[in-house]
Amino acid sequence: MKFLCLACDQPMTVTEAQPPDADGSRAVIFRCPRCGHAAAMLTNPAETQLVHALGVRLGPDPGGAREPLAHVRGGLERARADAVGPGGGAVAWSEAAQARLQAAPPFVRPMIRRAYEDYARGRGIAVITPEVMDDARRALGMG
Amino acid sequence: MKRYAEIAGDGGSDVVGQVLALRQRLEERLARVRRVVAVMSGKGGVGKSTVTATLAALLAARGRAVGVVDADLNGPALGRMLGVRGQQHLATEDGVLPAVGVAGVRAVTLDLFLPGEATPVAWRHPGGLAADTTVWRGAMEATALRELLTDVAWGDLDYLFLDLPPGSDRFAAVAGVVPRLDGVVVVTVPSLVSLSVVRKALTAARERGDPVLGVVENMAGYVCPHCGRLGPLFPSGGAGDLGVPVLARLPFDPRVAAGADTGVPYALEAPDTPVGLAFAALAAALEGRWQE
Repeated sequence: MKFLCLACDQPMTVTEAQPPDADGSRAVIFRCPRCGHAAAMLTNPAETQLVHALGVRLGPDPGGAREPLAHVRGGLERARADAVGPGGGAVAWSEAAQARLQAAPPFVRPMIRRAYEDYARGRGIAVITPEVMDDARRALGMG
Repeated sequence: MKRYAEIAGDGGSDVVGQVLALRQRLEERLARVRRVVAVMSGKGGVGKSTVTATLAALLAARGRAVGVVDADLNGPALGRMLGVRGQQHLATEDGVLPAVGVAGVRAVTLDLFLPGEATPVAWRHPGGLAADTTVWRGAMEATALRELLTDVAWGDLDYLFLDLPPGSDRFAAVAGVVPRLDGVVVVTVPSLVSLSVVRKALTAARERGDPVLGVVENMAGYVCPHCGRLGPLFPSGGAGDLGVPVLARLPFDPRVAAGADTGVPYALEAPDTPVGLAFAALAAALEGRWQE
């Protein structure tokens, strides 16, 4: 959709895009760069929802970094708050902990490793030791 | 007065540019994936997700780099089947790291974004209209799927499996989001009802030119736990006359369902059983399709 200033025969530019109001309508303000005439495009709820669903932004400067999975995280009515956490640094494994991990069948090692690393990362633990593994097993109910 | 085509851009939002940029990011992400394979079924409940999870795990156990997208957004099941429930995705500069499941399969599923197992997938809507507005819901799901593909730092993959929702109509919607599909695997059971629906799905797939690799006949017989003999489970059927290769016939074994519940596919734990051998043959058949 484009807006044209009839008096100037000049395309109008977006100067402001307001968030949805309680009725599900958005106001997007256009202004003629030549004469300054302003007009507001008022969306109906269906148009608002469609724009939202497409995952695009309206406004004079819609660029900038997108947060990963922003649509999923912000779009779900009920979402886990900690579904995505900070990456943080790598978690190290002591030799003894590595040896204990090796005792697990090969095909389950990657997910066990990940579970312990998530546990350690969440508690600021830099090195996984057998003691940390024991604590994690108790905390995670791993039997 | 200027006409629409004479005016460059849309006044600032650049909606078309944003959509194109999203598509380009997806293409860049998939450029590091050797094979994008969709797993679909005509009917629900035929074991499609179990086949996806087991196939992914077997290929990963063979040393392949494998990713799985749970594209069945409203019925995500792969979190449990791949043993990633409760994991947290980690944010990096390149995107969100996938969950790591059995045999190192990298996975993303909406299951990990829901606060509880009983929480349904429902989308927040800006207001004014019913939440289940069909067009809006379809657009929300398409954008969510695109994000699951694009915003996840998959790394280099040999295979990326898309576990589709049941129904051939849903396949078309998913295929519209994914810029490149290298193969489609169709899962069915040997009942006339399922085969009839699959036949329709295959006709639609052929008309669209989808790269159908073949069909997997799941629950193709029952292995007697006492004598080990294979007997029929369905009174009818057979996928042999569908006009596409039969990639595998997988016997029914209740331990497969038990494995799916625990996150370790039974075929990995018991490779020498009839169902383990059948799944191994399926993995080999799939890999063989690209080695011919």
